[in-house]
Amino acid sequence: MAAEESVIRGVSSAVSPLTEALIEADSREVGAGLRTRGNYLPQQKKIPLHRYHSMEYAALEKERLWKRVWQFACREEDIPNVGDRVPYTVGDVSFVVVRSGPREFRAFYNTCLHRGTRLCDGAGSGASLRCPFHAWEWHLDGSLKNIPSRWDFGQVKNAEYHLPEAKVGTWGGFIFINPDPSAPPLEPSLGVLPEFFEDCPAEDRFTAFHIRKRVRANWKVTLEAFLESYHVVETHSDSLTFTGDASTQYDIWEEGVSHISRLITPLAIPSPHLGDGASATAAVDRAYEVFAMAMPGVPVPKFDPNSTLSGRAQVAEWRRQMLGAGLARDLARWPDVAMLDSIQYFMFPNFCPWYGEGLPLIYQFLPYGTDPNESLMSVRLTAPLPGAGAPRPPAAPIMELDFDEPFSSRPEIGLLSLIFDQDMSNLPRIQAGIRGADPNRAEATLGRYQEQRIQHFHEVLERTLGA
Amino acid sequence: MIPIVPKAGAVNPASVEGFVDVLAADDLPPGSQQSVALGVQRVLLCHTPAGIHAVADLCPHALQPMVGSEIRDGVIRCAKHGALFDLVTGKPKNGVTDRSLRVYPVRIRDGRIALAVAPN
Repeated sequence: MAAEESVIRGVSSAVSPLTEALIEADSREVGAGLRTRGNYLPQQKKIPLHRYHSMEYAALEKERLWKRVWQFACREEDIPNVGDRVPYTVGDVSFVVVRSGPREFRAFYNTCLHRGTRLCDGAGSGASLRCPFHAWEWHLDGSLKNIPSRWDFGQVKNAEYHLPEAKVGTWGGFIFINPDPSAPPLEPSLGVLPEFFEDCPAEDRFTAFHIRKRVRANWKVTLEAFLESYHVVETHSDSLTFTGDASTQYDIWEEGVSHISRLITPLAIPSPHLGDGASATAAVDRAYEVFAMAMPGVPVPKFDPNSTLSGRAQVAEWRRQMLGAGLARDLARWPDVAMLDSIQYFMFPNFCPWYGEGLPLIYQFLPYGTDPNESLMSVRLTAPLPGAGAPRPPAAPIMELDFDEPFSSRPEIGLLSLIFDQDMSNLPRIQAGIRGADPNRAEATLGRYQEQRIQHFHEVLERTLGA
Repeated sequence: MIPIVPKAGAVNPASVEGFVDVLAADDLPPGSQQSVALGVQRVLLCHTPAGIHAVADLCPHALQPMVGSEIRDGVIRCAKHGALFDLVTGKPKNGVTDRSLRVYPVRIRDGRIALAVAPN
């Protein structure tokens, strides 16, 4: 960051302060993680559009990115019992992630060493990994267990037929893999995440909804649509009355081996785009309505002008009580910002864990098959584990949504489905526009502050690919 | 119970006859339009010379609100990106989108506007 460069870090209005001021005004003490600001601003550069559709670029990503970096594969709760397994597939490279012991996870190339059959097509379970073609079979630790007609394979030495493995690391109930055998351990790549999630442990949550959507757009186009709140003004214009889009705070922590960024978009305040005359009361009332959509039958409160609490603090307090009662958990210490706002972290290259109860999501972005114009986005909605000694609820099964199936075909996530559909309606359009751009102007121009996380992503990507 | 998770179908308002009361007819003078809530959805009521129409307040092109859009000769033009729809059939009238705008049957009785909410 050039010392002389002065960057405008968001805008406020008379009724919509910057996120930092809202954190300052919180009714509770806000933890160090949310108060800490980033340490990095990427260099401003245009982004060549060819990298979103070129087969050569996708091939480079496969070899130098996906085969060499730590990446989010799945959750421990997806494979709760020894022998459970799920595939993790990046483009045309597939791994099978297995719980090989009570606290041990392994990831094998999802390919039989006999004639190459894929071993695992979907979530499953068993005492071994067995190929459906000729029943070649491996123990859960990857060692060869059995070959039918063993007499016919004299050339096969058992020790040489261990299933090839990727490295596995875990944090917060998340399972990461790195196919590079010489990769350093996972921990340094996590950067600030373990420290910042210490007061909101991801391992103490479970997946309540899990949707996997096929998208007609490059995986980076899909990812980048979710790294900024700049698009709210047009794409989610119906959310402006209660969303601090332009007052959103963005931070980046770049530490060489770790590449983490964050956005905090405040809710229950009007967008600064609506000007100084926008209604703060309407923002609070609308936030009540939106949060209440997830609780049918519950009476929807209104802003109380006689309360000593601010409007945001009122909504946050109501959320603490409603959620706390529903989950038999004491949320009294949780700050307003963690009860209301959209706090999204990103860990390069494919992982977005969200913090707090405002919008408790997990995103994963992946190439889909060999076509760089298609991708997969996995969205999980999580909830804290119930208190009072209740057992851990099982992780929700994956609902698959095909290219043309809208999120609204799964009404269980309420207003979120409209918001995702608004985003999804853009993505194929973006991809089409990118492919058809004037070759002399085939580059993206990014906002200095609001789109800095995208800039940072590309900076790290370029470094990783060496191109 | 997990309070953050809604129950499917629980948000749609119930109605004995399939019509749901939404507004007093006097609150929608000729030439005006108004967006009203119908469960989690919003419906745009438009009082045109041909009568009162009800369409989804959600353009199927980019899923944006329609309220405030220009209406002429029974056709509404989405203010955002210019998609045109027939107010009676909901069918698109230009190439911005090939999807139809949802239309709701309207019943006016005793000075009240009610909408049929059965899927169409």
